[in-house]
Amino acid sequence: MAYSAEISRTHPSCFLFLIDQSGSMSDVFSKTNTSKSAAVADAINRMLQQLVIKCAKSEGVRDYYHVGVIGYGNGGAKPAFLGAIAGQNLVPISLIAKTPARVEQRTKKVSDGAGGLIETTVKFPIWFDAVNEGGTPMKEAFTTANDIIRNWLGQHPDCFPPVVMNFTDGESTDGDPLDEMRNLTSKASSDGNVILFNVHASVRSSNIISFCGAETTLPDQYAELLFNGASILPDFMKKVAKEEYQYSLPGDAKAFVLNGDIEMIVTAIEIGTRPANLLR
Amino acid sequence: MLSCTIKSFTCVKAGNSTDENEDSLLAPSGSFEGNIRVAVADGATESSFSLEWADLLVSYYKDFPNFETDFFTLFPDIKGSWLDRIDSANLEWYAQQKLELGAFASFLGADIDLSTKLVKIIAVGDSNFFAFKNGKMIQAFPIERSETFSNTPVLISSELHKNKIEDEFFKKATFEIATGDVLIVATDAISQWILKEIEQENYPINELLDLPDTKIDSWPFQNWLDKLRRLHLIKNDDTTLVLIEIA
Repeated sequence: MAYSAEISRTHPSCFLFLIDQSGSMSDVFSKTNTSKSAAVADAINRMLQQLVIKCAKSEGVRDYYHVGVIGYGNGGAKPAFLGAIAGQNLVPISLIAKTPARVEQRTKKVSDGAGGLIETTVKFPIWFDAVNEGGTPMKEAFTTANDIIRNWLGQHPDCFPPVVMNFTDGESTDGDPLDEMRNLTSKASSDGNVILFNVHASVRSSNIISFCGAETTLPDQYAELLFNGASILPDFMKKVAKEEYQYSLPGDAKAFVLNGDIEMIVTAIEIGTRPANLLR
Repeated sequence: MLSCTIKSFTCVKAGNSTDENEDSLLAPSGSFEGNIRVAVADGATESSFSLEWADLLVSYYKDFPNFETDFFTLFPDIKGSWLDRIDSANLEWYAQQKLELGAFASFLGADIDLSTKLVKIIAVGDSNFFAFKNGKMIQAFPIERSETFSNTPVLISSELHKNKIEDEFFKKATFEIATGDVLIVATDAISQWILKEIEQENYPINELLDLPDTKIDSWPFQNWLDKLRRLHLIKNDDTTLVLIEIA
């Protein structure tokens, strides 16, 4: 059965995030007054923090995962990590734990235990910063992703399949990336095909389309491209979407979001990184 | 007067090193008369410092006769002992944040009174008790069917507010013993295997009784378990089993 391989230190899996860092990502989400690029960077830095904590045990952090973040924008597609792991494509989670570029203090509202909320300060590690400059070389990003995932699968042929999540707000400016997307989703370990999420962000918070099937009419060719390139959601992710987010999804629901606001982006990350809950 | 002989077995999940076994066990080996306590606590893989937590649950059960009724009175002491075992001031940021989420463990204790012929069992989570008479299972507690085991059992947390304190935090059962009975206390993976075997009308007890005591030789249990794991007949998990034969 696909997507049932054990994720362990001897059989790690990987997550790869592709992040559009083009100029238009500077547009601001009105709800949160943060730019798209900052909101996506925050969401993924937070996800990295949670993944590190999930893999932490008494003796240290266990390498159940290797994670990569590729930014694409001005200067092409390149690793987005800063600090000690700058320039690296995939990094073991134990090394990520030890090498945040900096740790910020953020405020957070928590329960005061008496029905109210109080503001408290929490540590927020940063591994990469928001960038928004230049065009959208999405094709190059997927070519890079194919190289990274090919190498990974060569070394881990029986792993739980890698999950690749692409976050973008615009059209590719370096050609049609669909073949590269299809090349990526045709790759497989012995446990199943690579899972590709295409998550499109919009500041307008309107006409959000999420995890739809082929019957849904999409507004334009660009949306169709992202839809066509995305994977069909595996059953275990559909189950999460249904049980935790009350989605009623068709059998051919795709790992695809159009016009997603920040909440939808976070939901997509929660569903897409669900293999993190399969540690054994 | 009844007596009992106790054999115990524990084995780390395949792929982990022996010192990563997060099952804790209270089961003195040998033959006994009078009153004896046996317990297992299965530290959750998802939490850190869960072996330390499981060890303390078992240790307090051993030392406090009214463990289950006094549990929430004892709780600050147990939690304090747990924190004392962790050098929390010098933890890395991720270990500190993980620590704040708490440790979790399932727990099952069996108080065997050979003079009154009564066993009192208390449990939170998916560690299980079994009683066999003439090779036939006559009690399984708290889980009775193999499909009831899940990846999200209710566990005892080191964070007080995360404990689901309902009418009865500890599930309780009693069992009357007689000569020839075999009792089992076990963590979830092997408990699920036992129930599956019984549901398929097999007799797992015979296979288990043939295993030599780990104190004498641990390899037969390890080999037996490895075979089941290879055949995917048992979940790859830390596995602990206590066999109590009543005479």
